[in-house]
Amino acid sequence: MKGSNRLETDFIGLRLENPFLLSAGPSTDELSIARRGLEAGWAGLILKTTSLNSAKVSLAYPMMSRFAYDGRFAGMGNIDLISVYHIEEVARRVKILKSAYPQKIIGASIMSDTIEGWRILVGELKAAGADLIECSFSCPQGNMGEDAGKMLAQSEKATERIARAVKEAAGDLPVLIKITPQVTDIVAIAEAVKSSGCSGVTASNSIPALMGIDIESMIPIPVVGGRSTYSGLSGPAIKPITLRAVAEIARHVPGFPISGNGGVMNWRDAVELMAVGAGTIQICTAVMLHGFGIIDDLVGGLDNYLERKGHNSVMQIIGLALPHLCDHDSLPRLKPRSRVVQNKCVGCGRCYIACRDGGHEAVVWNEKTRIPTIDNEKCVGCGLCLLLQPVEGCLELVFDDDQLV
Amino acid sequence: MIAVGGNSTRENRFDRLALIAEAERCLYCYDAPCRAACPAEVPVPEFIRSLASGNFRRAAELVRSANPMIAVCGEVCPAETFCQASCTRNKIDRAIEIRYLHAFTSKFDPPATEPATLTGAKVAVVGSGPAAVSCAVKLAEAGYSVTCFERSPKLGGVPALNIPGFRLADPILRNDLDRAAAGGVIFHTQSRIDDPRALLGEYEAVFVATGLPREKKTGIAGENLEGVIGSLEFLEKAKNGEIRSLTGRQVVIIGGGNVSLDTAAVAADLGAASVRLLYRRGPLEMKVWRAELESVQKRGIVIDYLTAPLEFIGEKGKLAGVVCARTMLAEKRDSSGRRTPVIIDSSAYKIAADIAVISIGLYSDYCPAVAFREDTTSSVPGLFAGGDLARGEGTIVEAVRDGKLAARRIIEYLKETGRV
Repeated sequence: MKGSNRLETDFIGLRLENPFLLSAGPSTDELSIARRGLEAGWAGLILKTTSLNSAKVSLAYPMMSRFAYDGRFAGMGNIDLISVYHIEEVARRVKILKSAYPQKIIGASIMSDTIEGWRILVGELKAAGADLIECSFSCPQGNMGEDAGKMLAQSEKATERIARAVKEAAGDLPVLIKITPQVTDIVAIAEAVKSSGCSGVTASNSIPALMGIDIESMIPIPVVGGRSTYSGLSGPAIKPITLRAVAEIARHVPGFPISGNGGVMNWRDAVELMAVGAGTIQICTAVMLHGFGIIDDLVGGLDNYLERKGHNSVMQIIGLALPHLCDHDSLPRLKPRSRVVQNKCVGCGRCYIACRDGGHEAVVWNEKTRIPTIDNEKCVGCGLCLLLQPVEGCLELVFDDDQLV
Repeated sequence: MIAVGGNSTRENRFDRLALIAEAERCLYCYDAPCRAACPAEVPVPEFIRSLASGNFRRAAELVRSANPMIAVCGEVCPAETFCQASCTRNKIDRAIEIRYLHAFTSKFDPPATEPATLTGAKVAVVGSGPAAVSCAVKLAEAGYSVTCFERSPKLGGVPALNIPGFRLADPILRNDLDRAAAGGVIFHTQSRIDDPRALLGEYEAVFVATGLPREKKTGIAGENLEGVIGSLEFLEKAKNGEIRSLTGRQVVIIGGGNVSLDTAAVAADLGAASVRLLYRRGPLEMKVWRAELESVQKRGIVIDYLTAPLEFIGEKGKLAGVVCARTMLAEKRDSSGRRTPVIIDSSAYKIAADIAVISIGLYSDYCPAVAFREDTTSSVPGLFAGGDLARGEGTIVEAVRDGKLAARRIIEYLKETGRV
């Protein structure tokens, strides 16, 4: 039913009309652009990471690149830095946006190189009336200040110390710490944030990556005047990494709020991320690629899904996948077998090639009919063949021995 | 020789992004049916994989080693009845546009190879069409000295002389011919060989692929009037510029095959006041390629089905009109399995025409003393044959297959008989 309030979300003491927030990035870095995002139906935004007026932000162009496979856009890389707008301007914008859109969540992201700097930034935003502060502890280009080039969120001690200072300055104002999945023990980092008193984590940031090499010039991508550097990878390629990061935190730091971020391209991705524990969904890359208008399908898709599954609040799906997640040791040991669904098979033989060269030589090819069969003695049910289905359902896994053909 | 073309609906045919997107639709089937369906046995999934990875030279090498007429076939092969008809994706959405990908590969040079060590044996090839060139290229690759003799001033056979320019532009044919010449094949134009047996002294073997250069006659009255012309002659004169304009002329074409459709399209393009195609059977009996029919429909040419000519009428020795009659299809079927057209009594009527093009079939009367066989052999040892001459009307890619097969047979023959 349209017009329901199923999508309303409570998160770290804030009320959101839906769980979708524009994450800190280019789409929230200009007032005119940010306004259109809010008008389009996003529940709120986090203004691009800002800094003290004294901080120097020196951008390098071009900054965007892409990673494609099979002709499809798989990932985006950026060598962007924090906003060129400093705290004074960002605080002014928070005021403007908050008064124009009182029902929307207006957050801002900050970064500094000294504890005093973090405190000043928090104070300005608090005075401006921000709903939420997010601290970037995980810019892929490294943080400013101590141990420059490394991320704060790669150190438990640094994370806790600075998060605590920010929280002290923020008082009642909700604070999220944006962390990186590029860490040995993400649970320990989340624990550090929790013990600092901050409201939750944003998990997780883009991931340091080398986007490619131009093999004609041997210059890595993006090419910037004959040189290059590592990018922050975002988009579809990082969704599985984000899912694991969120799931790990949700499993081992139960109940600690997580704002999911990284690789969500559509409402299905959003459902998945919430199913492993995200309480809100932040999106940047999908908007950069396809515009604010994707909010229509995000909201509509999520709402239709919730109705179909009988949930009257989106918050009911948070963490629903977690009880099914266990360690490898705890998995049941089954004896599945593949089966070719004869009336759906189109005779491409991809399953045959894959099983022959990357499986167990269990697919038997029929030269005349071009319809393969499975040798049940050889098939272990690894599932490789199912990955190659050219049409839905031409192969299936059968678990009950009685059903084997 | 039948050819289709101009089928590409793509505005920018060779945009790399569009091309790679199409290549990436390929399922790379095991024992791929597209390859099995190609008379030239082009390794389709393999060349598409190389295209998709940006390995254009390997793609060119894979296609060209199977098909020396890669550029011509890329334009005019009726792929929708060969490779594309068998594409597994037909069972999912639609076939890969294999010909479009194939055409792209013709733009690239395969990696250079060491020239073959010459065997010392010489082979003559009579003709320079697709069968002749394919045979010549394969023999040259194997180290034989090959000389092609072409009767016309222009090399290339039907693709050069008769396939309309809107289907096949000259530079595309030249691409294949130039590569054949670069591969060591020697071409002589205006070199008519009346009896190929005479070459057997100087050459160890001879391959004959002179095609079907003669037009069948209708046998009705007035066929010798000025203005009545065969389709091959018409297409050749239109292509070489002897017929520059048909402005104001009323053209009637007799026939219902691919060549007659080409003829109609060319007549319309030359500005004819009217173009009518008379076909004695119905549309269901018409055995033509889709692209051919579309090129006629696109030009708004009317096909008079179930219509047969009875007589050509002249004035002062020149054609002035055609007496036609309506036909009906009897239940009885002819040797082609199609219902036989029968003229309906008292249905005769006259249409005005000052040009009538006959396009009811082709034949060869070349060197009748020799029997040229479909399996590329002949009644004379050392003499081989292929293409339309030996097989009857077919497609370019089938001529390529014949040429390759004949080359293999010739090499076997030369080795078996100790001629190297």
